[in-house]
Amino acid sequence: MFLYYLRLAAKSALATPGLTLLTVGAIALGVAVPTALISVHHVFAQNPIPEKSARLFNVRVDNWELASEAFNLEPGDPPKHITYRDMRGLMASDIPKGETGVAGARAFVFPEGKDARPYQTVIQLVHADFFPMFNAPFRFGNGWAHTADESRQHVVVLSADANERVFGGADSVGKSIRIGPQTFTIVGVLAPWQPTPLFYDVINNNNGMGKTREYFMPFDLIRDASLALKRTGDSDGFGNSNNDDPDAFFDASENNWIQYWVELDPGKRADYVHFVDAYAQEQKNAGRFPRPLNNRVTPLMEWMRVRRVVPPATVGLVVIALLFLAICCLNLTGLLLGKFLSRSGVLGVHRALGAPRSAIFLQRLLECELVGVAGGLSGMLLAAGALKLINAMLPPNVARAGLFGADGFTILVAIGLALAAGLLSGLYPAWRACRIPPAMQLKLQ
Amino acid sequence: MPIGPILRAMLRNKTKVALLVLEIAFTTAVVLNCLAMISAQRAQFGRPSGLDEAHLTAVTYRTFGPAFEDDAFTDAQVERDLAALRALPDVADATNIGPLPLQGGGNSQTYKAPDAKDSDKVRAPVYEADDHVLSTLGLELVEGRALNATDRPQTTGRRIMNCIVTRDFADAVYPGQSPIGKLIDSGDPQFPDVIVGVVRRMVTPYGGGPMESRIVIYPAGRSTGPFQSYLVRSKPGTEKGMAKQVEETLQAQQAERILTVQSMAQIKGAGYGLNTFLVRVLGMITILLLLVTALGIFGTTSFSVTQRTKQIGTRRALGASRSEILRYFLIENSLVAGMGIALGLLAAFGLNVFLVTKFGSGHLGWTLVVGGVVLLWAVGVAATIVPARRASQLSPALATRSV
Amino acid sequence: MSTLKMTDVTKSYRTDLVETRALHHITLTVEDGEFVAVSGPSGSGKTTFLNVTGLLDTFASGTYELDGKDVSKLSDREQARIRNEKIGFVFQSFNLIPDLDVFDNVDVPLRYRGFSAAERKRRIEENISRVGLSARLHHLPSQLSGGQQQRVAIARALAVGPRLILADEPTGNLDSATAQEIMTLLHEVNDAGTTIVMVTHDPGCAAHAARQIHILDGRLIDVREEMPSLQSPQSLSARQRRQANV
Repeated sequence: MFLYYLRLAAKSALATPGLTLLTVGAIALGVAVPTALISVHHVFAQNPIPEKSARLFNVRVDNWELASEAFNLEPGDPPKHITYRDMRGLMASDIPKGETGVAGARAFVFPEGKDARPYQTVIQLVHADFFPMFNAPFRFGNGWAHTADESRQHVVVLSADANERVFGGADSVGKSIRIGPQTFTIVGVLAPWQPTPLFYDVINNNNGMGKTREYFMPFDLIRDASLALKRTGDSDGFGNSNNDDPDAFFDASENNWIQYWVELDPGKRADYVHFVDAYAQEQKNAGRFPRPLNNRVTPLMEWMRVRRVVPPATVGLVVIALLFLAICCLNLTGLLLGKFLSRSGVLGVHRALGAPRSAIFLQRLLECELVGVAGGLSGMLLAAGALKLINAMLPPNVARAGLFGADGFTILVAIGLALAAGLLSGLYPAWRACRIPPAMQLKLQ
Repeated sequence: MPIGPILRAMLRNKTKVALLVLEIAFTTAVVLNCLAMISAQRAQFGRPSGLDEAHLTAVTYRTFGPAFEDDAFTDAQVERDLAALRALPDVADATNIGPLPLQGGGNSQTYKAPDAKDSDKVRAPVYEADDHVLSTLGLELVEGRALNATDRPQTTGRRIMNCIVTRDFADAVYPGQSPIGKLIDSGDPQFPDVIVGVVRRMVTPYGGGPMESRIVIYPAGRSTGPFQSYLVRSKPGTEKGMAKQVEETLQAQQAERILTVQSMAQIKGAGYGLNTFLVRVLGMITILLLLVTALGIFGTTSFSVTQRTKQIGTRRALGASRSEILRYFLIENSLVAGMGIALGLLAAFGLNVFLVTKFGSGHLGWTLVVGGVVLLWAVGVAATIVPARRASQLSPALATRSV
Repeated sequence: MSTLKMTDVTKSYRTDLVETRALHHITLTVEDGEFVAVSGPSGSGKTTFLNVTGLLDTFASGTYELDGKDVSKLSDREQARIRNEKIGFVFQSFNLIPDLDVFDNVDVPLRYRGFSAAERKRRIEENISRVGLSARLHHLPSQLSGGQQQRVAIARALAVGPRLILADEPTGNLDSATAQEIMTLLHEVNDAGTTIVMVTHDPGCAAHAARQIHILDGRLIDVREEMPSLQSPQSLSARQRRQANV
């Protein structure tokens, strides 16, 4: 019976092609705008590493002075980075399963070959645990061992892009590459890997909407002056930070510039929080950390919220877009009501021939949903186009190219919204249609 | 034409009228809020920066040659570059400045008067440039003096520095008094800075809030490292070929570097990228929304003209003129649009409060409301005109034809 | 056994502002296999009578039994079921569903009845061949002449095997030759045992019916009892006056 109703609904929709086209267009437009903007929102709001986000924590300790406030913070929050010496201090714990600092350094890469031009890049400074912690997939080779971190070995891991650019995609493990004045040994090449947001560094990277860096190096190489690596990225500090004495900067300054991550097994968070607070207390005793204890061990997705990875304006746009859909629905309700009432004769005949009200209601609702599905499909195409347009309009300092695009999520949203729109705008007209009194003197033509 | 019969006719079609009123009300609420958001974003982008934006060209470069590994060479090269640029007939002045203003982002420090409380600290974006900075940027000096060559520190390390600040900065640190010659403490009481000049205004999209116009400019020390940036101010009317001239001049000076030459408009466009993006998206939504609503009004009016074909014919037969029929529909739709817009205004203010508190959207100003209402009303009338004209063209003979 | 039995059915009914049509204490029995013609001037309540009879409209008081079952207090779903099973409708303007072809039009009531596909196909083909349109199975209503459309409508009415056919001016939109054909067809249907109640103002059509009923101002005058008065308008109005005094 359902299929029969579906057929009747389709016939009825096709009986007024102009109006049906108009309604499909209205739904398509009404669906496309929110679908595109919800997709944009989803790009910002999605979980970049759902399989283990619950076990990854960002760690902050409040080292700040009483006299000033750190830059760009919510009231009550500790600084968004930690200092080098606090990173060293926190690394003493063996509670985490893995731990890594994350920071950036500028350098020049000198590819081999006579036509190859040197190019400038930002190197991601990380610890050995970075790769297993964040499920970075390797195409060739592996990350480096903990010993490489300690002994500041000149090793490097290339992203798939860098390997393509410098080695044409060949297995480059074991080969050397000149970065700055020195030569590094390639120990691993990543498979294409582009977490969105780039969760391990959402402070830089255009709020996490940037590309995976091309080169990964042991963190402590930043301390090797002979490598000419230049610290880059957001940082904030107070007091004397003498930039002319590198060792003083790393070991004695209050300059916050490192995002620090740990992987904790379930149930270990309380232990670790305890450890962090004990560390902070120790620093207090040593005369640092003048503020009350304010340390945070923040789960990954919570950290995304703290850093406002989803720009508030995006949420505003989604609200506006849903209102847009509501307006299209109202429009549609008017059009469908007009259509159903003008075809009250046909409905009357169905009633006379034995259709109960529920059958008329169901048939009309199906007609609305058919229009909805057609509108949803065209809306999906429109949304894909809109996302392309949004990509083109995005300035390069806001997000990487091709950040937004239609995917499975977009399709689901479009179909979901279209079905909801068909249902919402169809309920009232369908109800009115099934209330049309059947009568003998019906005029159909 | 009496409004009574029109109102009674509308009452008989309550649902249809209600739907249309609701649609117009929703549209009013959303369109007004979109306009508020657009104008808030544009206000940020459009506020005067104090810079002579129209005539500024920015150069950034990255060196890669071995020559640049020598800091003395780099420093001398910067001097040679700037001299060569200033020698160009179309160039008014040039300076090395870091970071580039208006690009969004930069460096900042907190300051206070040496004897002020810590809680009075203000944060300010910090720029470093040579003594050509005011004349290159086009900043207007209102007090004190510009930077000169002697302000430039010749060695690295901590020292007392002279600096230029904006009026807003001066007013924040030394309210109600002349800041010239006064000290500012940026965290190291031993080495405060001295304010030597005040510029009327400079704004940069960095940090948000009052910080964006509280700016400190230091004299640049020796130029070192592989990254340098210059600003070039061209003489009026010569902007067109400026980028090319600048690039060729610098490349002729020293080729082992990768140059990026952009107009200030491009830099600013990127610095305010998110604003521009939001304005465009909101603009498109607004246009689509007006289109959808116009189509809705058009559809409903067309439908009611079709339904009332015979009635209209009868009216015509009874002596109604074409213009009276036209007026009937226009008045009817104006009433509907009026009710919708009135209802929508209430909703608009409600939605505005929500959007402002939740997402930092712009406030609804009165000019905006009046402009938006006129726009919506015009769209409503425009959408009615076509079907209403069709109605007025109907022949009186229709009255006698059975439908 | 009676197909239709109305007792004291009364309906007063208002639309918008003025129109007031009503049925006043209608009492009527139609036996199985009867062919009844209902006539009356326009506005007399014929249509209301037909709507009530066809369970398309409700009434205020009185009882109505269809095929021995009281149908006055049924739910919408039950009424729809009875319309589907027991009543076939033939309309003045044919009322074929314009977007469905001949086959699908006849199919509609069978679908609502819930017959199997094979049963539906058998009934559709049988009834379309009965009205002589087997060659037009997949024509749309707009491709058929008025007479052909009415034949399809009759086939559709017959397909479920109803006890009662309600026909409303079935020849009203047809030329006289075609009207004659349709009346002949209805006669055949009646001869095969189906009860027919037909509203018409064409005396020629009414003459096909064995029994004549007249409706005036919502009151029913059964001409079987009042045969002489039908011939004379004066006595008709006398009857009216008499009723008005009751």
